[in-house]
Amino acid sequence: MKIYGFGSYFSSKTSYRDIDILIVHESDACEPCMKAIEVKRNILNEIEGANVSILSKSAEEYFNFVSTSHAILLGTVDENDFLSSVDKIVSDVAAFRAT
Amino acid sequence: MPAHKNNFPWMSYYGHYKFFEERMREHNKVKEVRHVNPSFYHIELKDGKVIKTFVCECYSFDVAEYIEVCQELGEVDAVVISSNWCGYSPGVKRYCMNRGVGVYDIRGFMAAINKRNYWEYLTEDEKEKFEENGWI
Repeated sequence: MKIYGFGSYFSSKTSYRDIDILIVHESDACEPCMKAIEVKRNILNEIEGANVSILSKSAEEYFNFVSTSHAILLGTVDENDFLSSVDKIVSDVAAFRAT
Repeated sequence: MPAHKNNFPWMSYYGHYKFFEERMREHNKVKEVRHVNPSFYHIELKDGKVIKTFVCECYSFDVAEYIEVCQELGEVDAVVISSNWCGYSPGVKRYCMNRGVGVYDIRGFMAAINKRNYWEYLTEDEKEKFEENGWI
């Protein structure tokens, strides 16, 4: 599962309205979707002002979302230990504006 | 474009779906439109069938969002993506179709409810995409 950031928080040097995050999971099967939803809920709990979209890999390719939204890869989530992966991504997101 | 709300229920910026409601009330197969909550309707057809319909402005509706809808509202019969700026993936169309659930834009939903098996309705583009993928 890959996590991307896009929108004004990641592209603008000045103001931003919210923090747009995209989760891309491997397949349309129920289990990867459920894991992605769980990761989304964790991100929403940890990042104030986050808006989180979820797409399967094939849907991302269909919408060409990463390319058209100029999304940047924030990290990859280890599905067996996603809490520590999400923690790292949350701190990277906070640091993004601090640098 | 005004921003829609990005998390469930991906409500329209304006907080209503008046355009959708008007199209439904004008439709010659529709008997009654019951507004259950801001984004959920029971559309009763003249043949007595009731279609539990979730309406949203999700920018890119996919299978995970459909699962979230079911977690929040229970089973639905149809999902309508209300805005021209928003869309749904071929994957969620197929996933839902296999479960007897239709996914459409407003125009597609209006066409679909003319059919007995409304969840099987595909636009010409969708037919092409499904054929390309060997899904039909």
